[in-house]
Amino acid sequence: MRFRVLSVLAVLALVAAPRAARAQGEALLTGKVTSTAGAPVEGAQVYLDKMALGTLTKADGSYRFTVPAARATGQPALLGVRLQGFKPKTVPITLNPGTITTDFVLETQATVLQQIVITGEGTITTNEKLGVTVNNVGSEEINKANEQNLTEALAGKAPNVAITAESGDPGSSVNIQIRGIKTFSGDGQPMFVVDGVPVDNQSINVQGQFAGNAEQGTVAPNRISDLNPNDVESVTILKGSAAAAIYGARAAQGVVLITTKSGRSGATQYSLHSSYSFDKVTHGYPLQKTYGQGNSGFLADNGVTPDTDAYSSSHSWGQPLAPGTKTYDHFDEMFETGHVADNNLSISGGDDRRTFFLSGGINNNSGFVVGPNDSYKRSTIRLKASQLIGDKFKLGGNLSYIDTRGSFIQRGDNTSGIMLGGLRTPPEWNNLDFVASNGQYKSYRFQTPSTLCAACSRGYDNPFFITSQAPANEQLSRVLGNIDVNWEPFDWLKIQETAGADYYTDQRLEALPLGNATTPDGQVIRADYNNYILDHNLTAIASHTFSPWFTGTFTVGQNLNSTDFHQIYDLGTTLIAPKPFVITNTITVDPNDNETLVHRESYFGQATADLWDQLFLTGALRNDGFSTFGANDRRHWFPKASAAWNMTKAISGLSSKIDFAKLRVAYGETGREPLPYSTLTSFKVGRFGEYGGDASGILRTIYQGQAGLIGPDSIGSDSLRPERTREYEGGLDFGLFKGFMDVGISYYDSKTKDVIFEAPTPPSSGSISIIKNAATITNKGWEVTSNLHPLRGENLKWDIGLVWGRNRNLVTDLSGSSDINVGSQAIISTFARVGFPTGSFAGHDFVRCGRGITVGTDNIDDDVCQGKPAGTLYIAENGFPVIDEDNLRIVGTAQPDWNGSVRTNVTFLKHWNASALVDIKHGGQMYDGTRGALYVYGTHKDTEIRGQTFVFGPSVNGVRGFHGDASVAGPGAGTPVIIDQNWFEGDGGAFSDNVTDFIEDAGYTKLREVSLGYTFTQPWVSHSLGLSSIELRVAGRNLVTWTHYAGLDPETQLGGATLVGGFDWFNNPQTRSFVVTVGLNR
Amino acid sequence: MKMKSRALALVAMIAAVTAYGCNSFLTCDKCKNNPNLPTSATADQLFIGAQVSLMAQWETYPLNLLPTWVDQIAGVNRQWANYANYASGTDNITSDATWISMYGPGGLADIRRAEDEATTSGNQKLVGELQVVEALLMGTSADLFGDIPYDSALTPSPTFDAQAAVYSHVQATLDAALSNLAGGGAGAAVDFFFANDGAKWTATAHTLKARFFMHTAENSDLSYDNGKLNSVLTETAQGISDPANDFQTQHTENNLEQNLFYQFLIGARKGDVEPSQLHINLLQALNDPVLLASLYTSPYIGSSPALSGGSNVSQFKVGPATPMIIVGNYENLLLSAEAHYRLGNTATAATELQTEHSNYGEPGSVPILGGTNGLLITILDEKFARGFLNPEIYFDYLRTCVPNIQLPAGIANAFTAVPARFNYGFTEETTNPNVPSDPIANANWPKHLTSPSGAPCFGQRNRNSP
Repeated sequence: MRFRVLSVLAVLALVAAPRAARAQGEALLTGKVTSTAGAPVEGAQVYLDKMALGTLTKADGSYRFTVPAARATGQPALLGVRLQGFKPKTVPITLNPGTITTDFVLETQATVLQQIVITGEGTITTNEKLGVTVNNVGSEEINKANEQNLTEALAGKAPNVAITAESGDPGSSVNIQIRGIKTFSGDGQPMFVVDGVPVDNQSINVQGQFAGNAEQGTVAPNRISDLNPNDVESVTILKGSAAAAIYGARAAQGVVLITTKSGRSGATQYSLHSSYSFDKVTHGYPLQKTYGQGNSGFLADNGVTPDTDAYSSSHSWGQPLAPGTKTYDHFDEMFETGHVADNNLSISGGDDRRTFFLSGGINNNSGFVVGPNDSYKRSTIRLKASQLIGDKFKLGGNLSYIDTRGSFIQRGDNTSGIMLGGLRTPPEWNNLDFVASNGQYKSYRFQTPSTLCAACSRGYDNPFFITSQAPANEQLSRVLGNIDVNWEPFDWLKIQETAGADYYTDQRLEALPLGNATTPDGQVIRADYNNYILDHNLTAIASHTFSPWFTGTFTVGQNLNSTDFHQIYDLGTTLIAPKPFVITNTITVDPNDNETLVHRESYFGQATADLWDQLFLTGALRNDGFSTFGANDRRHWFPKASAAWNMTKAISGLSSKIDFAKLRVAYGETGREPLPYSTLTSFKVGRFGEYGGDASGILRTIYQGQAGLIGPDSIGSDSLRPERTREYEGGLDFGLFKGFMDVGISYYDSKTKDVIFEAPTPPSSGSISIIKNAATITNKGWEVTSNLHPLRGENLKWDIGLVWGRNRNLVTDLSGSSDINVGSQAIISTFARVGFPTGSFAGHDFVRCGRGITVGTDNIDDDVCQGKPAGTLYIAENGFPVIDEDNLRIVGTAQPDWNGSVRTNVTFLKHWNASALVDIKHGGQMYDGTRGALYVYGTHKDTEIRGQTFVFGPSVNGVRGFHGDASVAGPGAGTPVIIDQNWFEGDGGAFSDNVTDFIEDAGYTKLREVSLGYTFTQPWVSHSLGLSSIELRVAGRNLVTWTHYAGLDPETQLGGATLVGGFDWFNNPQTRSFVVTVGLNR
Repeated sequence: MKMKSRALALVAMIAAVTAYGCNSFLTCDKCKNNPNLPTSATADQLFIGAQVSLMAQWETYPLNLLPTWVDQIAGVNRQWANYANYASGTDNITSDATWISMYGPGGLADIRRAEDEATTSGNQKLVGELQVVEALLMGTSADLFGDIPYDSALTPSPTFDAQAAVYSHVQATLDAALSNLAGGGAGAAVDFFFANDGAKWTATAHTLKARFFMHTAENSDLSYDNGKLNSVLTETAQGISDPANDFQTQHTENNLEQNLFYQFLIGARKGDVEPSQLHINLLQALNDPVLLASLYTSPYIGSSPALSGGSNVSQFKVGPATPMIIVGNYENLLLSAEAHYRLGNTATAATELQTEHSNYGEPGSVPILGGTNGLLITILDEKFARGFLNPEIYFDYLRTCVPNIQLPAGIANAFTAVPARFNYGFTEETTNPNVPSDPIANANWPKHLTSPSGAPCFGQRNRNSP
């Protein structure tokens, strides 16, 4: 807290300081920068070397800045100019008082090589010297996406950076996975660092904390979504261990470095950007409207009119609806057009000694679910400033405050979820009319409630009751900030200290009113999440030119980090009065209080050598000591080394068509720390639940006022080490045809050893598992990026960007364990099994040939399948297939074969800009459990075939084939069967052990972004309006999705930002957006 | 000089920060100790945990599958319709939770921890109470799974004892419990079941001994071992003598302390099960109106397995504080009645049956069925009717084929017979190389081709698979 106050004061002092009056004798530097073609060069940085003074050139290429008299004492200085796409240039000048005019003519140069790349822990380099793969996403690309969640804005921008949105709900989280899964626990998200300070990116689902799992309850934001994308200058992704090793034991899943915008010296600039977006649901489920509620072709309740307070049949296997019966579309009726208003204002500027950037933004999202409880509002304010003290000391401050307020909707594996209750409703039942004449709330399963049954479960909740009566709110206040001190005591030495903090308090209130389906007596959850990260980072960077062919740098640093997360969680049940929804209005309170404190102490060093201006070597070493490591094995080393060879000179004689070529090889090691306190063995208050442990009923061992404990599920280990990923990486970057195109190709091979998991032990030994370092995972892949610039004219400029990546993930060792549950899904088992990708779907298939399966006493391969291809479906005497209950098979994986994207950007007639992004995911499966469940309920459109006769496999004698199998065998092969309720409720639906029928290809091609913009810079803009430019843009997002997936959307992730995804169980839908943006700049 | 001072300042700054970093930064109190959980527990705390765990086991899934499989409750909706027709629920995932609860937290591991501590502190009575719970758990585990680890349980890779050996071990544990209950010590600080009444624990131990003697009394030719039957009689004579002393779950109206079956009925799984036609009809036929009225609403109509009776069937009347009998006076008397019957003392058997009827406040007497073994079937039917949700009814069915239940017809891919045991839990199967690969299901209970009446036994399956 003290730190934050100091930071605020420091920054305010900087901003409030009056501009120093120009003294007599100052030097005015002015001139013009043009290209060799004579065109003015705009936006070039003109600077005085080692004096931290400079400015940017204007549209006409001119520049102008002053040097105070005290610093213009007739000394020699170097005046430089740099801009991507041009060769940098410096000229010697003498800094005398008065006007010094210097013009520059810049030669064009391949942009790619000179691009500055941030490489972490205060180190930077250029692309030319970079020996590893780093992807960079600039502010323009981020803002064109019009995404409110910064993570989602990265979709399709980098190879093997898989982005998956939980759903289209306001405030839903976004999963990011870089170069495959490398662990079995935690959420698998990369480390996020904002302006040098590690920040929190948890997704906290209230239900997922103590009361159930993340597949229930509401969506939950990943906390990076608190950042305003408009404040971001660039995002740099350190993907592999070779790039990320400088972050040691926290970097195995990659590191995302976010740099926020800074002010620049020059005239103060103002920018106001407003956008308005319309969000519509992309895809729904087809539902039948032919058959009514009931069972076995009878009316609801077997023909008996429902009595008051009686439960009606949950299924729609009743009679055909009479002609003219009014029916309802239970999907469409739940959704409307959502609206997002996004307004951002920024003011930035500075002079030769100080800069500032002040911004404020309000993003107001009223979601697409009908009703008042679906919204998300983020307000941000940020001030970033710097002050030069003397010539060698620079103080910077960076402070942002974020206020986030969300209102969420129950969804997922949840009897109060709107999709679950909504889509299971029989077609003739009107969900919109959910209040009975006696004031009681009704649902299709509880149609005529009496006033005596106000607190009876409604079976499944009516979605409109939930959207209007069941609040689930979030209110978050967050402060992110840091103080930077840069000191250059000598020309060759730079010392940099960054002290930063990330503090938030996140208050949640989630209520289910009386009579809800899940806890009929009513429930209130009040949760407070407090996150407090303090980070200190001290680096010293020395550089030296040893000889004309050898320059080098040496960096040493220390990092101290304290991460404290505290949650207080009260579950109140049985409401005293129907309202208010507060804990004190409940009879039983089940409190939970949980804190984790992690301290980390690290040292690192890095050396670089630039040899003959073409060979660039980097070596680094980090030593991490974390409190999460076992006490017996506290400190660990993480090395890296890389070499980049700029072959351009060596091959310049070969072909004039090659602009440049660079070869790179690298090796690095990163880690992942154990979860806090997993080195310890503890006793706990037991909670025993009905129906497998996580449904509504619970017995707790604090019982009748007496405190009981139970022993540990898992035994901790004092020798736990961090998981360790070793990666080799190599690649080739080249440019062709005088800037026409550049291509980068990378291959990597990583092996993650010592993966920590709770190794199952025989329960009969007294515990269920021992936490140990015991598994190995490999990830190997290719990545290609390419940029084409087919047209580079003054009036027509066309760029194309291609991205392609594939990753092959395999579990190669489990230290003898056969299958490990990875992730915590209740919907479908996701396993680590040797020889298969991490988190593969496990389930039962039907009995098929070629698998050595025995039915009764017969091995079907020997007795039934002769001559039939492997995979042939076995048909029992009754004409139906049989589920292979004995074998739990790996039936799919969510991990794709490859993904890629095509971006294009056209600038024409100076003022127009059009862009598009097509995002492709090829392969990878999804468990479409929603379809399977709707089969059981008889509401899915596919169940309209009920009562018809089919034959499993291909058609036989005019009887239509069913189930899509090309080949069948067995005593019942070819036997006609009636497909009806028995099939769909039994082996044909998701409530049986049949998993394979609902594993679907989840590949897609998405028109992810389209935008068309016009920028007014005509003279009337400044003369009449006093502005420098006006931007108008219309854009669309997720406009079209091409997919074979039969469910909601192939991009959906029930658990949000979780390690393993790929399952759809009454998830809320995705949206497509249309956005209009107006920007005013001065 | 200026350069030197800068360099000195630099070194001092780095040194200061580094020194701070080294100073126990990584071993702060909340860094090295879990601020949320204790690392030790007393015998009394563990006994409370074990008692609650036991109550939870008896009132929830998957143990509640057993009454569904023998049609004491009717699974009619969603997953429970499939359980009722045996279309699912027999896999090793379903049984995993039960297996873990027998041995893991709240189970044998904690009971042994508590027994060790109570032994050290000289609290023999508490050891005895713990041993009764241990014997109940391990005996029931043998009933459910057949061969299980007991002698070598709680070692790294336990071996499996033959089911008969487990029952012997259980009897020995109960003998030790009886001895310890008679010893010194204050007993448990918190005993939800009997408030530390040693006599009630002793009676429960005797009835349990009788239960497990009866479980081992049948020979492979379906005859009964008279020695075991006499042991049943010896134990029941000292067993639970009054329904007021039944060993039963203890609940309150408060959340987190409510009967789990009640929570299941009103909670998210509402409507999955309905009262069973078979059970309601039996209660009426056996003239048990008091129990009938305590369990169901009038009019008394039940559902068939896997098929909802809709709104015209009875509702369950199980309330939040309703106790469920784990071991009761009814079982003690009916075990005695069965043993007497099998030993040829039919008059005593009938007397014991009627005593049981009147002990539970039922009016009149139980009408005895005619036909072959009519009295035996009536005794077993009465046990089935009164042992609501008690797994014992399923074990009795395997042992006797009473009631001779009819399997639901016309269900695609349903099993054709009642499952004969639970699969070993998934976790045990995948971690313990000593798990028998193809265990004979409940070798103590051979398959019956006929019910005691001589009619074909419809639902029993071969005992070589679950």
